[in-house]
Parts: sequence; C-alpha cells; structure tokens
Amino acid sequence: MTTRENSYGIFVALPPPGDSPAEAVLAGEIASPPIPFPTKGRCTDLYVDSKRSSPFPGGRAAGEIAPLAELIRRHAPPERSFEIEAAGEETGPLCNQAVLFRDAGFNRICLAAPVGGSALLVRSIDAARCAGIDRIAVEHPFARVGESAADERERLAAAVEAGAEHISLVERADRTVGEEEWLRRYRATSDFLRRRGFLRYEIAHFSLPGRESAHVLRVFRCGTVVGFGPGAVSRKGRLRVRRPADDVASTPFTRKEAGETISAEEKAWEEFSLGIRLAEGVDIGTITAHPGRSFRDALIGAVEALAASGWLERVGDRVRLSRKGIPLADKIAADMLP
Amino acid sequence: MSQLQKRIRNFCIIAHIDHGKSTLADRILERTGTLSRGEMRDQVLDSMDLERERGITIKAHAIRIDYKDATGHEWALNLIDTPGHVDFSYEVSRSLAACEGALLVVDASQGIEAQTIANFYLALEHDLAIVPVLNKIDLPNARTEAVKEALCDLTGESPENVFEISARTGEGVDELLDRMTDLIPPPAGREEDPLQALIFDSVFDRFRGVNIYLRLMQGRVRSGDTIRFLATGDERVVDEVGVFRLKRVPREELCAGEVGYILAGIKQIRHAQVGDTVTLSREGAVEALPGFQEPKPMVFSGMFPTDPGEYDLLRDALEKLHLNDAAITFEPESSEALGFGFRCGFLGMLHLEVVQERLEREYDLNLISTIPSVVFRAILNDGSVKRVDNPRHLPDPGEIERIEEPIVDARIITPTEYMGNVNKLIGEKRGVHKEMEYLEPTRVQLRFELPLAEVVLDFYDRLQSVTRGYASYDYEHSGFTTSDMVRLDVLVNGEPVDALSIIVHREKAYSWGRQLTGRLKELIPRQMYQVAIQAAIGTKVIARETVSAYRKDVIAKCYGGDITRKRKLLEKQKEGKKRMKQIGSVQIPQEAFLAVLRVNDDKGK
Repeated sequence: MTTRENSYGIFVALPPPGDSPAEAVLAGEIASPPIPFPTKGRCTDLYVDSKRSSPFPGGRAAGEIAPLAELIRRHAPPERSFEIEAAGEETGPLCNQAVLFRDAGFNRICLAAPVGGSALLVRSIDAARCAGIDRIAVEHPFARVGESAADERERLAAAVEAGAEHISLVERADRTVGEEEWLRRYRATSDFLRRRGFLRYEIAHFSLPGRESAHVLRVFRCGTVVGFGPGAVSRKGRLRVRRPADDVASTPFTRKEAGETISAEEKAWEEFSLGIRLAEGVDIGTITAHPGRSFRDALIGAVEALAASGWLERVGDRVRLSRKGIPLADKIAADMLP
Repeated sequence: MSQLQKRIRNFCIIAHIDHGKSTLADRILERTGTLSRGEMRDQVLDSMDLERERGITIKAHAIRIDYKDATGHEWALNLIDTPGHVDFSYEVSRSLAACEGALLVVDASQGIEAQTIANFYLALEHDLAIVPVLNKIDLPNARTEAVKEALCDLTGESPENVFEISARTGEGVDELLDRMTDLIPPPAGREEDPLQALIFDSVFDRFRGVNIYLRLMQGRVRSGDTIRFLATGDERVVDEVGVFRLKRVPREELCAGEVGYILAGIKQIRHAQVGDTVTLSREGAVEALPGFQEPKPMVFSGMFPTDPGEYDLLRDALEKLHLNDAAITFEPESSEALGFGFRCGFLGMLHLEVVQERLEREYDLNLISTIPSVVFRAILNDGSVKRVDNPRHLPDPGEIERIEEPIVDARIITPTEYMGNVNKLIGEKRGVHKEMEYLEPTRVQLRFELPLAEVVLDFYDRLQSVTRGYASYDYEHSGFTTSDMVRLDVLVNGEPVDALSIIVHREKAYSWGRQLTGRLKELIPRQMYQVAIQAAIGTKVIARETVSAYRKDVIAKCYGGDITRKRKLLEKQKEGKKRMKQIGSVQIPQEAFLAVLRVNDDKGK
C-alpha cells in the first residue's frame, strides 16, 4: 500500500471475541489543524496539534493485539507521533489489558461506560493511567430509557473527575428517552461539560482543548480512512469499500473488493453533511467547487434556505449546524440532498 | 329466415361479480372445442392484465363458437361477455341488446345478489330468453335447493328448468349447451333489408385502428362497402369484416343475425361509440336503434403528476387511453397545491381506479388524484344553472339560490342479521328507505334512495364492513334533489389546499371537518415545523389539529464509515417523498388527498 504523508487514516475492526466484540481503529494523521469557525469577535473553538495523529485499535486478548501492533508498525509512518487508541465495548477486559496495549504501542484508550454505576468505569480509568496511558476517552451512554438524568449525570461527573479528557455521547435509537427529555439532557450535558472546560467539537463529541479524537475529526472531515478487519469500511476519494465479513487482516485497496465509486455530487453531499456537524463547520466554497452547476446551485440554495430558517449558521463560506439545528442533524442533511 | 340464421344463437352470461361468469365462458369454449387445451387459460375473455388481477370484466368481448350438438346439428353460438360492475351498466345494456338470450348465473353458495337482480331486470327489459343457471354446486357450502327456490321466485321458472352446474369442473355444462339452442330463439331480421347494426363494443388496435364489434339486426355488410354511423354521421369504407375466435377471422360478409367485427381505418374510438347504429351510406332511410347514449361521466377527480415535468406525458397517456375508452373525459386543470394536471371524468369509482392504475402501470406515471366528486347543480339567483364537478368552482354562496345533488336508486341485498347495521349506515349516508322484500327467509332486499356523493366516497367499503362482506349492492341514477350543501376547505399552516376541498352536506360539515383534520394529522408526517391543519366553511374555522414539530433525530454516534449507507437510506426516504406535495413549507403525502375517503373508517370498524 502506498502511504502518503498526511493523507490517510486506517481503521481496524477485529472479529468479535466471544460475546464481547472489540473494535479497533487506526486512524491516520490529521492533515491540517481545524479552522476556527468565524464567530463574531470571539473564537471559542478547539485547537488541535497539527502534528499529532490518531490510530484507534482495540482488542481483548494478547493474541489479538499482536497483529494490531504489526499493522500499526506496517502502516504508521514511524517518524510521526500517532494517537493509537484502543476501544472495546466492555470496559473491564479492555483496562485489564492496558499494559499489553501500552506495550503494543497504544497511547489512547476509549472506555465504554457501563450503564448503572460508575465504579467500574473509575477503576478502569485508573488502571489505564497506571499502565501509562494518559489519553483517556469515555463513551457515555446517553439519554437511555431506564436510567434517570441524575444517574446519568453522576456517571458523567465521575468520568470527568477520574480524568477522562474526551466524552462521546452514545445513544441507541430504539432505547432513547422521549424527545423533550432528550433535548433537556442534551443541553444539560453540554452545559455540564462546558463548565468543566470541554468543548463540543462535533455534535456528539466533547473534549478538553487539544484532546480531540484525531480519528473523529478525520471521519467528519471526510478524510481518507482505511479499514482493516471484517466488515470494516474504507474510503479514499470517491471510492467506498466494505471489507468482506470473513476478512481479518488483509490490506485494503490492494485486491478486488466489493466496493463502489460514488459520484462527485454524492461525495460533496457526504462531506457537507458530515462537516456541518463539526464546530469548525465546513467550507461551502471548497465543497461545491467540483460538482456540476445544477447540483452546486441546489446545494447552495438549500443551505441558504436552511440558514434563513435558523437551522444552519453561515458566516462567509463556512457553515455549521446552529444550536437549534443540532438536534435535527439528519433531517437537515436530508434536506440538502439534491 | 335463412338456414344460416336459424342456426345462430346470440347469448350472454349475466351474473353478480365472482359468481363464475368468466369461468363458465371458459368451460363453454373448452367443451365446444373452440379453443384447444393449449390455448385455454383461465378467464380467456378477460384479456387485460387488470381484469385478470381484479377478477372482473371491464370491457365486453365476444367470441364465435361453432358447436355440433348430440344430434349432429351444427350451430353458430355467439357468446358476448359483459362487464360485471355497476360502473359499466351502459355497456352491459348494449351487450344485452345484441343478444336474444341470457344465461343468468347464480352462485349456489352465495345466492342471489344485487347485480343478479339488476341484470335480470335489464335482460327482461330487452326481452331476452332467460336461462337460469345455478353454479358452484360442487362447493361444500352450496345451498342448492334454497338458492334454486329463490331463483325460481325471481325468474318465475319452475325448478326443473334451472340448470345445476359446476363451471369449474364442467359438471352440467354439456347439458346446458344442448338445451340452450332450444331455449334461446334465433335472431330475427332479414338479410334483404337495409343494413342496421348495433355497435356493442369497440377496441382500439394501434395497427389496424378501431375494431368495431357489432350485431347485425338486418341487412348485410362486406368489405369495400361504405358505412355510415348514425350518431356522428361519419362515413367510412370497410376494410375488413369477420368474426372472432379470440382473434379476428376475416369473412367475405356478415349477414343479419350475425355478430362480428368491422375494420374501417377509424383512428379514434369516439368515432365508433358503443350503442351507435351502423348502416350503409347508400341506404339513408334506416332508423337508429334505440338506447344510444353518449358516455356520461358521473365521478370526477383531478389527476396531477407528482413530478410537474410529467404533465405532457400525462396528457399523452390520457389521449391514448381515450382512444380505447370513450367514457373518460379530461380537461386541463391547475391547482395551487398540485400544479398542472387534468380534471378527469369517470363512469364510477371502479372506472376511476382502473384508469389511474393503467396510467401508473402502463405509462409509468406517478399520480396524485384528488377527492372524487360528483356533478352538483348550482341554481343561481338569476335562474341560470351552473354545473359543478369541482368544489373549487362552486360559486360564492351569495350567488346561489340552491344546490341540487345527484341521487341514485340503490338496491342492497343482505343477510337479515345485518339489516339493522345497513339501515344505520343508510341513515348516516342521508339515505331514504323505499322498500324491503325477503328473497329467502334469511336474506332480504332493501331499496333506498341515496345521494351519489355519499356512494362514491366510501359507501361500498362501509357496507362491506358492517355486513362482514355479505351484502351486495347495485344502483341506478335517478335524478337530482335539492340539498343544503356547503364547501368545506382545508388550510395547512394557513395556506388553503384547494385539492382537499369538498362539497358536503351542511349537517355533516362539522363532523367531517373534525374527522378530516384528525385523519390528516395522522397522515401528514411530522416535520421540522409545527403544522396546523384547519377545516373551514368560508372564513369560519370549524376544526383544527396540530402536527407537532420534530424535536430531534438520532445524532450520535455517526462514524464516517456509515455515511454512504446513511446517504442511501436518506435518498430512499427522499424517493418516497417524491409523491408528496409541498404546500408552503409543509410536505403532504398522496394519502392525505384521499383522506376524505376514509374519514368514516373508524365508524365502520
């Protein structure tokens, strides 16, 4: 595989170990620092070290970590300082092997907070830190039916108190509280994290300044992502590839796969609909530079209409979801479909 | 009478829907060897796909059967198949006029139904010899004796003259064939007299033009003759005459008493209308046969393409359908809500559904059709009469002295246990009871006068619902009556939706308004804005519902690998929205435009 510096990301998905599927992502470098959204007179947006990168693999057993480490060595340019993240659906097994991950080269860990209590989460964060992994992210089950807002807040507070520097809100469409309650919780969570120094750099991702997930940024900026492992998705330019279900560790883009090349318009829509979720927004001028005129006019027309109605914020060429538009990100994206 | 004429029998089969008319036709064709086994397929006379799917006969067809009886005599039997739905009763009447006899088929398990009776009386009016036939006697739930008794009461025949058959298995069909030639008289009319032929059907063929199906009452016709259509005065030179056995079989000539076809290079079906009389141009004194009517649409609906760019395609498609169906009328219409389309007239609701389905299926059009309306008569203060087939065209109430609405004479046959439900339904539908008659101890015939506007909306579905599908009904138009009608308008977020307006009786306007807005609330999907739905008479709002705005959708967690999949999902949803119409900022689905039809559904359950 040809690797150009600052040009790609790597995604690794491991086969599920037993009943507890682990996930691994190895994202490449951030090509450029985020562009502050031009708010009037005040910039509250994030800053990310342009030199840092963000791999993101995970696994439960040493036998699974070894091939990951090999992948990282093979594909990550050694001269770069990569963010290598381990993530698993169960916090306990992941943190129990924190030392193994660390030895394999991981420097970031993402812990899925269990619903119903924070003790295990706090122990896991401690274990990761003891293992020498200081970049700790938490996936926070959010607005879930059966858990009160108070319990949810207590769990979130514990994660922040224990030293989590990155919070991702995770919800399940089929087990989410009612819309009004959801909105109350979303605003309360955003406020809670903001008061503790977290910035909402993507509508479902919050971090301390400079601690954003490079992988998340790459994904929402629609950068190149190379997926490893069964079912993993890769994208490069207009090419979209999904790994076969029985594929464990072959290298993407090197053999014939079930893939498709999307049109320039489809790519532009994807870039735009992902980009508006970011606090930095998306540059409408860049996005609409390539596709045909009718598409470009339709997209700009849709953006203007949505901005006029208050669903989008637009300053110059940069556009993002407004506070009112954030809860309806999907519908707004759908509205922009040609 | 010529020897040829003595051996001709022109007959039709009349029955209530699903009583086995087409199956019996199939069996007769098979038993007489008209079609080989290989050519047989179920309901051979129903050639349109829609007819097969719906199990109905929409267009009448005819076939010539050469039959040799047990004694070795040869016969020419002309079987004229007839449509089985009330919408096409005019075509039925013309088909009957082409015959001397009718097989009156009754399902031995179902008994006499409304159309059995309507068709029976229609056949009597045409002086046809009626042969009562009890079908489906092989069914386990056949009530052969009871139904036979009712059939005898209806027809006045003795029980031994009722044929018991199973069209499905063929049982009894041979005996029926043998006796038919005795029971049905040969055609009258002299070959030497001037040509007088009745058009009972016409079908457009894009290669040969219009196929005219006719019955020669007197005279003869051959290719090369110049014929004249008495209704239109058109003259044409005959290219070909013949008879049909599923396909055309050319002959040198057709003579009095025969049933056959003519090809005369006619490009449009309205030039050869059902019921018209054909004669030779050099025999100008021939009188037109009685009963001709211009097709008269009774139900109107706006048809609009969901994609405004398909307006021309819709016009072309309607013009092509009109070539083959003179009963459709259409004229351009524009709606603020739906854009440009056509106001179309139909014989009835089935006709409307069939045409819409053909437009969508055969011409690949996506259509929105508006609430069906009947033709009202607005008598204005100055004494003039305005015909209103579109609620939007109802004049200002201040200009109207009174409104008249069309009424029908309806016949309903139901098991006695559902009589109470039927009477209640009729009351809701503003019906007036006229008479009641027991056909069997457990089945009763009820006659009512009903407003046609109530019939076209949801009457059939409601009747089926309150009688668990056991009732049948038929109706005929019986004139107009003065009624207190008002126009009910619908506003969505303050914008009037002209396509949802309806003319309704004042007493029902409030309950309609409430139910309609309630139904629309269910059908209009939640959107990013709150949607207010109001029903109003003039400027007075009589009902209101609100569709609350979407507050959120799923925002977390969207990883980039899924974005292409998500895009496809959203695109699919958007495809579904193509059938929606934008009213201001609100998207309204097609179902909403037909919501009025189902306003009373809850009551029916």
